[in-house]
Amino acid sequence: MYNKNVIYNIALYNYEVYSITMISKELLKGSIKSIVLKILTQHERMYGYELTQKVEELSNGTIKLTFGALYPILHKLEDDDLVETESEIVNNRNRIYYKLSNKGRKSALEKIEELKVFTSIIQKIIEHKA
Amino acid sequence: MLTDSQIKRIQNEIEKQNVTFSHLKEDILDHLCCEIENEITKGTDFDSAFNNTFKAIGDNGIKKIENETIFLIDYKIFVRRKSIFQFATIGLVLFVLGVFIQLVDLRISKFFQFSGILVLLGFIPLFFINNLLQRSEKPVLFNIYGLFSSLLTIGAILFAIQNWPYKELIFLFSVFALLILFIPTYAWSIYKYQWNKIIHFSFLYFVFLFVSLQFSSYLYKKNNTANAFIHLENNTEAYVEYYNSEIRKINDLSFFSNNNYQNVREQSDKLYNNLEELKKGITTKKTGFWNIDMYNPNEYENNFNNLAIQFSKYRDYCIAQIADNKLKVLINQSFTTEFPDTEIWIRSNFFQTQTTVINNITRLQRDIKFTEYQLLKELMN
Repeated sequence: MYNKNVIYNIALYNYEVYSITMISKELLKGSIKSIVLKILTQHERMYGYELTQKVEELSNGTIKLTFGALYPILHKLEDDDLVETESEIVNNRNRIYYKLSNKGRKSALEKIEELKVFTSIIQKIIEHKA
Repeated sequence: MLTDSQIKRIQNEIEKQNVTFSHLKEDILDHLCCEIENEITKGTDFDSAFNNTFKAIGDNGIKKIENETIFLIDYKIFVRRKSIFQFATIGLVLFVLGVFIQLVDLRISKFFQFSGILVLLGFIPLFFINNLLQRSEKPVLFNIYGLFSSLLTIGAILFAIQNWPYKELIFLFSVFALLILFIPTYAWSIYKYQWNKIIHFSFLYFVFLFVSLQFSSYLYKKNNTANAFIHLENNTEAYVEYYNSEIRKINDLSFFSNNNYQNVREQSDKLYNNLEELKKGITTKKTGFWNIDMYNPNEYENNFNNLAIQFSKYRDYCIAQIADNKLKVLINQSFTTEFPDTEIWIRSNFFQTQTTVINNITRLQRDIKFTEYQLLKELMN
């Protein structure tokens, strides 16, 4: 009973916070984690804003991650010990950098592999001709 | 690049949403600064970039992000946090209901108010425990002192209701824990962690006001002459005992047991026992459900009227027996039920709070015993 209510609240809030053009949020939601891990494998360390810019750049501006979509996932990754944080003072404010841990590196490879398999299967289904 | 004052402005705006979880606040500050800097490089001025950004976030957008972060990390924390506040809401609803029901029925209303307060009292320590379990930026000392002083306060309230020994000592401890431990740590945390100053300081102000009111009422009770009188009244039973022993001594010497002598003893015993029964009736009311003061003077209206009549009869009888004028005046004064009239005598003695009525009855019993003793002495001579 309670569970339903909470999930309803979260869904309602997602509608407001994820502002993603072109690609619908439902499609993207499950893959944000994999995308973040993938981008982190190619960089020593990154901060939140940099990540959203990178995603936008790689997707030719079709995927715009807002901080409402990004930070809960980054904190979740940190809690699972997949990423580590270090803070540094840049331009008079505290900037928090995220980088992959050893555990995270392994997990990232798995996640990327999983996403690859998933997209290929989806592609197969879509292109299937009766 | 943003100036210090501009960063401060963004920080203050984020501060309004009271985000406490881990380093989320710093993440968002940096992110928003980057976004605004980006806008500025595109040619917008700071003010409109600032307004646009926060307009897009909405009134509690950042708080919602915190909620989802907690939800993702630990579903249990999220549920616990929500249910604790629902718990407090139930308590408040019960209390407010009780206040309204007061217009209809005093006893049901007392039940509602009491259970509402109990639920609210349970909420406070749960709130601090939850904060301690949750990884938040809220300082540990604030939560530990909060938990400690709230538990002490609940203990003090419990001891006061149950009338257990050392209740005053625990009350003093709880007040000092709040004044010396909790309030300074709270004030310090507001500055250190830059919590929303208006909300927190106004809350702190009310806590301080409440505590100092409690404390001053305690001191007032200690120093008030009326209260000292009640303390004295509590010792009236010692007087009664003294007079009883004196009467017994006279009784042992009663080789001259005449009719008058027996009559005095019978009449005073009868009146004394009537009062004792009334007192017992009122006292047992106190140990009713929830231990709430259930005394209702209207139930005893007839008893009081009878008592007034018995009193005046006894007084007249005593005065007739006594020769000493001084004693006559004294007895007349202490037993008067007609000054200014009987109605007012009944109201001033019995239409009071339960404790006061019990004290008054004990005082009347003492007067009866005193008169009996004087009378017997008089008769012996």
